[in-house]
Amino acid sequence: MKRLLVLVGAAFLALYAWGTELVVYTYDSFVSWGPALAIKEAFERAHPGVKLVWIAPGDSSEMLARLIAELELGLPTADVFVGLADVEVPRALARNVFRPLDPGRLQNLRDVPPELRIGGDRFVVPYDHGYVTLVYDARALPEELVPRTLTDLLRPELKGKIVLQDPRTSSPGLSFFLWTIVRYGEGWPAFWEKLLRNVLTVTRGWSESFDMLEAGEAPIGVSYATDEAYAQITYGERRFRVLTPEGEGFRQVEYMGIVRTTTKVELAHALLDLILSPEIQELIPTSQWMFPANARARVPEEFARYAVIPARPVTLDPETIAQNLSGWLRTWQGLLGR
Amino acid sequence: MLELAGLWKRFGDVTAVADFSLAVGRGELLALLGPSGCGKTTVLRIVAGLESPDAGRVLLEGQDVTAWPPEKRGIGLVFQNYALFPHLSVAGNVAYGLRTGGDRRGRVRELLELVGLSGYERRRPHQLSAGQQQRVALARALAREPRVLLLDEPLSALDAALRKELRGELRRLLKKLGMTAIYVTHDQEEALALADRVGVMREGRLEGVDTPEGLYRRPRTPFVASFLGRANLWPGWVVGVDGDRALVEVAGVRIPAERGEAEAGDEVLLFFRPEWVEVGEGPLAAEVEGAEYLGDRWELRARCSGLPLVLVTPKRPDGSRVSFALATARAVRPGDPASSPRSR
Amino acid sequence: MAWAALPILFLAFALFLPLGEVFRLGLRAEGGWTADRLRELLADPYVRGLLRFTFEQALLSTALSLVLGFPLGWLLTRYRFPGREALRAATLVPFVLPPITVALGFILFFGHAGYLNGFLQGLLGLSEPPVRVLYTLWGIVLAHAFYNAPVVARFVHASWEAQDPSQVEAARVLGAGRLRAFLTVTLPGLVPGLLSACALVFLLCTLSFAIPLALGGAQYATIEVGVYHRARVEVDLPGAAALALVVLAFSLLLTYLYLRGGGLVQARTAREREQPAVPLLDRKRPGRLLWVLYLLPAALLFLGPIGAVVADSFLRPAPGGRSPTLHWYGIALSADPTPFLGASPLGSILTSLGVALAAAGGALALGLAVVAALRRLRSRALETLLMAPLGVSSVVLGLALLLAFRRPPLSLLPSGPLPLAVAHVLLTYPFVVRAVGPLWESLDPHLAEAARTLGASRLRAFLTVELPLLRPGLLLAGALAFSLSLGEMTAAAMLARPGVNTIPLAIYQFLSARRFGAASAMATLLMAATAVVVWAWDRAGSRWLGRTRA
Repeated sequence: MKRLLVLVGAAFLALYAWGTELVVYTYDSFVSWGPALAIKEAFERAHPGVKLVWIAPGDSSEMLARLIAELELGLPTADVFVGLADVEVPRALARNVFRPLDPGRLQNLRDVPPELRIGGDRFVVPYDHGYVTLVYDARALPEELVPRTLTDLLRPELKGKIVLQDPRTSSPGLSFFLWTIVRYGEGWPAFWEKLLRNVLTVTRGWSESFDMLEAGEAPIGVSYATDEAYAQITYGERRFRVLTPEGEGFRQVEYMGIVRTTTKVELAHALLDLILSPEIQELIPTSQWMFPANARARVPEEFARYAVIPARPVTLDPETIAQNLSGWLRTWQGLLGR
Repeated sequence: MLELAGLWKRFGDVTAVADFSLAVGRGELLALLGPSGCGKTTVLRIVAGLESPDAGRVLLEGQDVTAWPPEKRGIGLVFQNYALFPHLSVAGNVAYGLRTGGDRRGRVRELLELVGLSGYERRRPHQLSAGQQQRVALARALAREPRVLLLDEPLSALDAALRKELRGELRRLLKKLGMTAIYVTHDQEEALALADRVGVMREGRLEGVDTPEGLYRRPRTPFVASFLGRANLWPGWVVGVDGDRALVEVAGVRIPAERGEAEAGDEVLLFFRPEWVEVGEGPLAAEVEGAEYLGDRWELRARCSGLPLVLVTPKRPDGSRVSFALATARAVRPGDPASSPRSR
Repeated sequence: MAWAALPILFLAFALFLPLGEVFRLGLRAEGGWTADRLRELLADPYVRGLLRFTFEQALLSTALSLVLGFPLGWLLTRYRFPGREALRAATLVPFVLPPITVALGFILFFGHAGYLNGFLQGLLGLSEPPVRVLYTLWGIVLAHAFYNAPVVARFVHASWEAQDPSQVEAARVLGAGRLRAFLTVTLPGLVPGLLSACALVFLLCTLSFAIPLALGGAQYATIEVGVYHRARVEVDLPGAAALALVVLAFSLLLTYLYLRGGGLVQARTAREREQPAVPLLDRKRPGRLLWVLYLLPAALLFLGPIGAVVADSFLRPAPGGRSPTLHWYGIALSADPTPFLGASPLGSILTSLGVALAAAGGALALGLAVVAALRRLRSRALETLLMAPLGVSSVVLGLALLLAFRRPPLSLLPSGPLPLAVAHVLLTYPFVVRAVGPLWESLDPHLAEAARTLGASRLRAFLTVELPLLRPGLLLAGALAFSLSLGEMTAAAMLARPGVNTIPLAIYQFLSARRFGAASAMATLLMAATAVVVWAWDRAGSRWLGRTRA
């Protein structure tokens, strides 16, 4: 009798597990470039019967907006969110999208250095990091036009040659925006007013703008300090050169968390732990083109050689961001209409 | 059989039907005659149930059907433009009103035979001539064996020769079926030739109902007199009456006439048809102002003591002055303008 | 009254209750009703910028549409040439061509690395792309002109055809030269049609969504995009509702003005003769070859983007470099979920088809009920009420339904694609009314009456006599509603929810993810579907549908 019960129970569990889907929101490039598919394979191997579904029709802030909208409208939504830049974390926390994490279930977290971790790992944990900077196409941009400072971006010769991302929808876009605020202080709106008149376009996400660089639509864009490594490894030459104006670049750490409405807490933690595992973390440099968060993950030599690390990383504390961001963005929006 | 009692119908501020009462007997063929816009079609639509009267009742075999929907009344209607269903065949049109079950096909064949269209079952309405369409419309209306058949100017879309031919055919058919029918037309000749009785309408009112002959010879109002055929209407007054005779003085001449409804001393119109004028010897004389040759006769326009006169004569008189007598004439009371439902 | 009750009841729940939600959210704060949020909004430089840009681009788009459309109308009216009928039919295309496919075509064709620049750079040996219109205001204006020049051309053609040619002949006999006759007789006759066309184009450009969304980047956003951004990106629902009220005010005003002005266009009067048309190709009149100066750039503008989409769907190299290839069609029809869509492409296609079928069916039913109600109760107030969706923009409608489906009573309904289908019914049934209304009006009223006297109830008379006679109009209107729903992206974007993805959204998502091959393949399929509808439309009788759009 007892054995029968166990058998039936096991069958139910198997059935339940068989139909289980873990839905994960992330930004588009985490799938098209990053390790998303490798993670799916590894995860489904480790959890037979569970399907991992990546959903990524947009950049990070856009996906976060989608998550917030679905939570607030009471629609079905994701179980896990991967790909929140440090500068977006305050917004996510303000909108109460995550459930508290159980650090005990994240074995690999112990190998993540404390300087990447925030808020006592209560809601989000980091999985990679890097620097947002300017990148140009060395094939398309003559040497004499290469900007050396942020202010150089306003030069008339560069009119129509720059692509940026919308800070309202994209995390590198937001990072670049905050960088200019740190750099110009109160004078940032004046800088942006001129900058907006000089750019080709402001895309919704990083994928679009970087694709425009690759396709030759524009020669300068906001991207990552690791792009030289990408170019070297992909093209065999450093087609994309990284600019660190006056040695600067904006620090970016990317986080992930578990959506508060999920019923699959166990599986969600398992996914987070898998992403932090050395196995996945070692894929990050040459797919995601970022530095892994796990200190034990090995980084390919060529990547380490060509990945630029700005001499003077720029950061902004979460407190200031949380207090000012919506006002800054409103002001920025206002500049669009000028 | 069918009785209409005190019908009124207004559209906006236009009165289409005013205090209209009429009774139609079983098997009777009644024509409703009047100029266009006189409300005759509206009467028909009220009988059919397509309009509801503002006041009055429609009684069918003694039953008040005023509030019944059209499909319950058992009344057939042939529309002026036939309103054949363009998407159905001839047989489909005729069978439309037949109840499901039973020998529909046999009945359709029978009806088409009746109107002389055997073999046309599968044609579409647009493949038929106007005359054939008219027959299909008739067969369709007859299919349900209506208690009363209404025909709204059914021949007006046809050319003159066909119209003449069909009206005789129509009368024979309706009489053969013993059908009670109201036939609306603006063509007086058609009404007179076809109907057992004719009702003349003017501005929503019934001005007179009588047999064709009675209406032609003894109109009750000047309107009926002049609407049916040509009429001479001379103003005068009744000098005296004697039984059904009256003496009417017109322009200083006293002329004997049928009395009608006139009383001594009444102002009346002396009514006589052009063909009632006998040219030759007579107490009256007129100046001829114009003559038209009509083949079998001459029609003369003349003036007698200042009054206009139309007369017909087999041969053109010599000279411009004619003497004449009246074979018969009739005193007609002028209409009372106050009771006229002129509404615009 | 029962006739009017059905459509009014539906509109009450599907339109007026949701719009009420927009008002409630936009105008209500703690403590009661307030216009503070509106005041704040109108003082916000961003919102002012949106409004300014919206009207600026609409004005420029209208002007360019006029400049490009007038010669086309002229050409179609006054010249004979091979393909004239096909060209006339082609002016119907923009009515049903989904805007997102046009946006895609513009990126592929006019992009700095697009087909046009690639060709010109190769031809002229340039290192820099010579045509730089994309990503600017002019890219949007050009895309709008692509859309609306044919609308202008149709209006010009229709009002020119309605003119009696003997007027011009009279002027010529009275001593006016060709130019003077044109300026003093022909042109004044066209002015009402031109004004109407301009009003319509201005309205359509003001409420444009997909084109500025896809081509404008962050700098060039219209108010419609602004509402979308507030609702679905910033998730500021009260702010979105307040902004939607501003949009609503403008759209109602513009629609009212357009419909009022619609009376300016004379109904086609009975004419004795057609407008005389002369051959375009005439050896004795080489001057007519100057039309090439119009036709070549026009062909480039109209055919380039569409051709680019079709070409790209086959020619863009598949992974591994194969080209031409059907690889992208494989992706566009794949049943596997794609992360960039959050759904499978095939699933998106099936959802779109299902929604379009439901929308067409619903629009036909509602449209018929509205026509029936308006036939029985001829009241202007009722007509305004029943045609209200004409004055409500897609974004506002989408927001209204998004908000309303959160709360009872609508939240009690199964959601899924239902709100989207409802939105599409509301957006398309006015076309059914416009197509079926005049047709029904032209039916002989005696037919139904004849059926009644033959023993048919009102319902049976309708079902067996009127409905079959309305069928050609219904089929056409249904096809139109189907294709409009298939290509509609604005409400779809507003109402997007997990599991409900449509073809235009999939194209937009592929486009955003720079998956051009897949986007092109899907857009080509969508254009093929709408082309079939246009073909049927033109065949079956643009006679009475050509003038029904408002």
